[in-house]
Amino acid sequence: MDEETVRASVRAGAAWAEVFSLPLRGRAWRGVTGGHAGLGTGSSLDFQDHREYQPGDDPRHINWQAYARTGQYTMKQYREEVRPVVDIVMDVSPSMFFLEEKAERSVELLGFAVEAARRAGTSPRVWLADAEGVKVAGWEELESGRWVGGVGGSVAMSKPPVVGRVALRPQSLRVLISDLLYPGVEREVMGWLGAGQARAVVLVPWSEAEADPGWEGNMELVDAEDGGVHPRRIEEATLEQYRRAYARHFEVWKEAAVRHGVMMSRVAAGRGFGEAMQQEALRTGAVETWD
Amino acid sequence: MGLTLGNPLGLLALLGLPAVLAVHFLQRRAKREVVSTLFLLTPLHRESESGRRWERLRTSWPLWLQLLAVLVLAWLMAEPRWLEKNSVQRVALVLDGSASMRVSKERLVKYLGEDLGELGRVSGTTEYTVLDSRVGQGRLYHGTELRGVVAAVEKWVPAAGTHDPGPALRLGRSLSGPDGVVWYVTDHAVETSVAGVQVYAVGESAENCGIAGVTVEETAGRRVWRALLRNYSDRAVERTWRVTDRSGAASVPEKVTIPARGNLAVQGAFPDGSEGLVIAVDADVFPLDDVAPVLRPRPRRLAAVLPEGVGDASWRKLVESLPDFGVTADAGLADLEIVETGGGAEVAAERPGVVFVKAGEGAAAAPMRGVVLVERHPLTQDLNWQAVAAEAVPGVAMREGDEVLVWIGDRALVMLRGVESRRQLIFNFDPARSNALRQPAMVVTLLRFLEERRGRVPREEVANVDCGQLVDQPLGLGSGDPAVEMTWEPVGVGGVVGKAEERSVAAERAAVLRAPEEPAFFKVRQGGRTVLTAAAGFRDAREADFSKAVTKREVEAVREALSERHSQADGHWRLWVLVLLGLLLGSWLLAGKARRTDQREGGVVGA
Repeated sequence: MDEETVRASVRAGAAWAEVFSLPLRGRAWRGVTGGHAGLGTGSSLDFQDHREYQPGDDPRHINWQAYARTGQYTMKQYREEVRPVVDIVMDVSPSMFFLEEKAERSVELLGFAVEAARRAGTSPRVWLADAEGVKVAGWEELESGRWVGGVGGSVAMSKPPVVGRVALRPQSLRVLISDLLYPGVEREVMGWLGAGQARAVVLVPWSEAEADPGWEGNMELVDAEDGGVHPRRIEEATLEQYRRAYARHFEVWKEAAVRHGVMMSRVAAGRGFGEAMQQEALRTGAVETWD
Repeated sequence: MGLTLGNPLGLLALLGLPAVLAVHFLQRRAKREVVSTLFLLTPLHRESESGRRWERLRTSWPLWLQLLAVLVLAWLMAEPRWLEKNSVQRVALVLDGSASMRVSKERLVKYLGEDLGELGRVSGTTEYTVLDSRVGQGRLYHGTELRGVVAAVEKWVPAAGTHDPGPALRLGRSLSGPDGVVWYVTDHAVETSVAGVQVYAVGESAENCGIAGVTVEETAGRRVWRALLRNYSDRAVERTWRVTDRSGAASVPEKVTIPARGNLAVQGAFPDGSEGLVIAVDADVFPLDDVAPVLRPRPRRLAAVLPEGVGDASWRKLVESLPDFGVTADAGLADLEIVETGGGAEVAAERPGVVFVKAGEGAAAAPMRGVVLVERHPLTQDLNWQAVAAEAVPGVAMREGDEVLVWIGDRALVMLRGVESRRQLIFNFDPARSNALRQPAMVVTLLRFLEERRGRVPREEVANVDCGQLVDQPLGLGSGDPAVEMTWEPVGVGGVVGKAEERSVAAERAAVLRAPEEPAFFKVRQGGRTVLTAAAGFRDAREADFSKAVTKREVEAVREALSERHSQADGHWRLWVLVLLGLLLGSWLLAGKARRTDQREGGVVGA
C-alpha cells in the first residue's frame, strides 16, 4: 500500500466522521475542561447536587436562598464538563494490509476514529502496535502513510500485537482497530481494553477473501505475518472446515468482548464505508450518528 | 478386412498417454497465496498439512487434444495394415525327428503356439503342414487349425539318431510353395542346404551323462560286457551305475566320477545262466541313454562246403579264419559252397558260393593288362582294385546274366553269377598267382558277399542293435508270406519295466521294420519261427550332447514379410498426419489461452 493510497484512505475515513461518531454520549468522562459531562463537579450550567459547605468552598456557589430558609450554608454543585480522553490503538501487523481492500478499510477506520474523536472535542492519542512494539503517532505521521510498514521492522513469526504495552489512560474511550486474527489472546486483549472503568470499542476490518477464500488443490500459503511458506492440499471438505473455524474464531472474540463490556463490531471491506458501518457497527453501538 | 500391425513396437507410443496425464497432473502448479488465517488451517484435516505432488486431474481441452494426438501418433507408428480377407499363407514345419528333440518338446509346444499364433494373424487363412524330418513318417498334420498343429506336435515322438533332414525339407519347400514359410524345427543352430528354409531352434543347453556304447566280448572263456559312460558337460559329474538281470536281480550300485567331457568304461561278466542284462546310470534330462539293454550276442554262423584237400592253401587259410564262418564236408549242413575250378571249366550255379580259379601247373603266364574298371555295386563300393595284379591264366567263361564287378581290360576279373538265392561270387583269376590276397579289396569283397549271404540264412540271431535300426533279417516279404510279429519289453533304470508289447506287420511291409525306438528287449518272428532276438539301445552320442543346444526364434522378420504380402497399408496416413498436426496446434493454442487466463486471475504466482 503506497503512501498516496494511505493518505487518500485516511481522508476518506475522516470524511465519514461527519456522519458517524464515536460512542461518547450517555456516559460521564474524565478529562480537562471540555464539552462532555464529566464525573466530577464543575462550572457548567448543568446542576448536579447540593452539599454542606466546607471551609474553602467557593462562596459564589453558596445557595443563599437555602441559607435564608434554613440558616445553614448549603453549596450548589454543578456537573463538570470535560474533554474525554480517547486512546486509539491501530494494529499495524502485516495481516492488516496484505489485502488491498482490507488495507484501505483499516486505514479508513483509523482516519474515521481520529477525526471523530477530534470532532467530539476530545484529545485522541493514537498508538500504533504490532508484534514488535508500540509507539504513539501524531496526525501528521498518520497522514503521511509511513507507518504502514509496522513499528519494529521485520517480524520473526506470527504474533499478536503487543497491545499490552500501550499505556491506556484511565476512564478513556478506547478504540482498537484490528483484524483480531490471532488465536488464544481474546481474554487478555478484551480484559486489557475494558480495564480502568473505560469504555472500549473494537472495530474489526475483514475481507470476504479471508472468510471464504477460493483455495483449491495444491496451495502454497504464505503467512502474511512472517512470510513463511506452507504447502497445503485444499479439498472442499478442508475448505468447509476452515469456514467453520473462521466463524468460530470471531464468535470467541465476541464472547470475550461481551464478558468485558467491550463493543466489538466487524467492518467489512470491499463495500462502501457507510454501508459497512451500518451493517454491524451502528447496530451494536460501536459508532453513533451525530443527530 | 482384419487389422494387423506392421510395427507393433509402434504401440509403445501409447506410453505417451500416461506421460501426458502425468504432465497434466504435475503442471498444475501450486497456487501461491498470502494468507492471514494460517493458524485456522493448522488443526484441520491432516491431508492439508502438506501439498501433494500429484494434483488431481482436471480435464481440459488441451488434455483431451494431447491424448488424442498420442493415439493418432501410436496409430501412425504402429503402421496399421488391413488384411486381405481371402489371403492364404502356407507354413510348413519340418520337425527334427532326432531323439534329442524329446528334451525340447515341451518348449517346442509352447513356442510354436505363440509364434504360429503370431504368424496366423497376418493373413486371412493359414495352411499348416507338419512333417517329420525322418523319411517315411508321412504328414503329421495338414490343415488350418493352430490347435491341430499343437496337438500333432504333442503326439509326435522324435526318436531317430542323426540323420539328413534334406528330403523332408525339400518336401516341405515344395508343399508350401514359393511364397510359403518353411521352418526346420530343431534344437541346434544348424544350417540347411535347402534354400528358403528357416531354422527355428528351441533347444536349451543342458548337462547330460549317459551310456554311449556297449560291447560284448569273449574274454578268458567268459562273456564280458563293457559299457562306455560319457559325460557331455563341462564339469565332472558323479553317477551311480548298476546292472539288472532280466530276472530282476540287481547289482550293488557303484558310484563313479566321470571327468568333464570325458568317458569312463565300466565292465562286468554275464552271470552264469544270464542271457540279458540292463545297464543303467542315474536318470537325467535325456533318459534314452541312461539305460542300455544288452544280450549275449549269437550271430548266425555260416557253413560252407569245402572238402579236405580242396583249394589252394593261400585262400583256404583266409576262408578258415573268417569270423562266424566254418567249413564242413557235409553238404547237408552247409549254407554255401566254395568251389575251385580249372581254367575254362564250366561252373554250375546250383547253390550259392564262392568260386576261385585254379591255374594249371606251368610257367607263369603274362600279367593281365588293361584298364581296371570297377562297376558301381555294394560289394565293391569304395574299394581300390587298381593295385591288383594277376596273371592272365584261363578263367571262367562269361555267361549271359553274369554281373561283372571288376574289369581289367576286356576280361571280367570279379563277377556275380546266378539268381539271388543261388548267387555265386567268382574271382576270375588264380589268387595264388596274384597279389590279391594281400590287397584289402579282395578280402573285403569276399566278406561283404558272405555277410550278404548270412543275412539270407533263415536261422535265429541274437544281437544288440540300435534303437530304431532297420531289422534286416531273412524274412519272407512276399504277399503270400505270413505276417511278421514283433514283441518287445521296454526297459528302464530298474530293468524290464511294464508289460511286453506286440505288433504285427504285413510281410510286404516288413522290409522297413525297425527296432523299437526306446531301449527294449525284442523278438521278431515270422510264421512261428523266431528270426531275431535282440536288445535295442540308444547309442548315438551326437544326439545326447546338449551342450550346444540353443533357442533361435526369428519370427519378427517372417511376420513382417508375410504381413506385407497379405495386407494393405492404411491409405489414410496423410490424413492422420494432418489430424495429428491439427491436434497439436489446437492443444498449443488452447494451452496458451488457459495460461494467459490464469495469469490474469493472478492466483498463480508460480511454484
